[in-house]
Amino acid sequence: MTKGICMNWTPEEELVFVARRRTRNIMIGIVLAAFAALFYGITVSKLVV
Amino acid sequence: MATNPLHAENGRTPSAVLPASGGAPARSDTLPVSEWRDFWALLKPRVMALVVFTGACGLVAAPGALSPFLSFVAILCIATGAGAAAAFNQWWETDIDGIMQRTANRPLPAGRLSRDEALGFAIILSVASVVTLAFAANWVAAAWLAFSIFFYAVVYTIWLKPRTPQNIVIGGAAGAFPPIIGWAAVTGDVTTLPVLLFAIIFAWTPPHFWSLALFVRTDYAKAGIPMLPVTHGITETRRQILLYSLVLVAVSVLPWVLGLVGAIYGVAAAVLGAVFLFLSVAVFRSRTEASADMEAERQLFKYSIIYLFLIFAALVADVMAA
Repeated sequence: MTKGICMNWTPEEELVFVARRRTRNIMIGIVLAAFAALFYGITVSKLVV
Repeated sequence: MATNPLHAENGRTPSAVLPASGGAPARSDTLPVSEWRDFWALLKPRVMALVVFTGACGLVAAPGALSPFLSFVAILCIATGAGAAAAFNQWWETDIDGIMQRTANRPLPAGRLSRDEALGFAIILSVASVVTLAFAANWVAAAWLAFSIFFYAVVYTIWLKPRTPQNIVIGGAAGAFPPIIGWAAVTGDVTTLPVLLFAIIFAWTPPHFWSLALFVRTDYAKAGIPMLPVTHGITETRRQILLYSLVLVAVSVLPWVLGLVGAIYGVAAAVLGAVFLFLSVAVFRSRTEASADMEAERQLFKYSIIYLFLIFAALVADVMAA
């Protein structure tokens, strides 16, 4: 459990905040990983050709 | 609790992500949680489908060939760039979307995503798609992609849309770039045919969009967006729809007239265009002012989507057959 993000938040609100942040980080991670894989694929593809 | 931004938002219950031992049940009406599908919705996937299709058609129609993998990457970049532009659009129009019934449940106005998250996502996707396209294909295609994102996000969304009823006429260019980008990805340049493909989508956008705007005009009026039916009335919009439909049909047969494509495309363009004109005349002759009764407008709107798919499919069929 993350503590102290905002003193006015209830435990439920803090859970939601953490869940939202996790979703955002996962989405950005997926996008960056996908493009990194594409770059690798492009490099290999051009080397092969 | 004014310090908590989540309090002002409405949307899905967060209970789906709360652990079973997560304490007291959450208040489903005040605490929305974002999910992967909210990020997906930010990209306007239905619009993206049309962009992918027309971009792929431009790529296939171009002389020369890109390897299947690089073609896939190029189309993915066009799709991602279009998605990024849509995310910019929703980031800028969060307040307007919240007013309009049609858009009020989008992730930003519904509070399931924050504006910062949307902007960050849009920037990452824009940069990644442009740079990747440059490496996969060439910088000409990448520059066109960057320009199309800029055009949609800045020229259309920020500048034109809130200012002029001609917003979607000029702004429609943003949606017309994909065939040019697809073509440039293969050839590294832009010639007459991709420019004509651009012109087809450009001329198609006003009748497509205004037929929708006619039966949702109260939404636009409520949001203060100067769409043609709001600023110039229903009759003038119907007249403009017919005029642009005539332009569309004329432009759509030009590739055939100029000998750039064969008879398969030519016949398809003529037949599809005739149906388009028929439906546009029905809209022009309609006198109904009640949105619920605007069947002619609904028919034209639905057909316009099918029309664009079919005319580009005919182009590909023609090129494959040649």
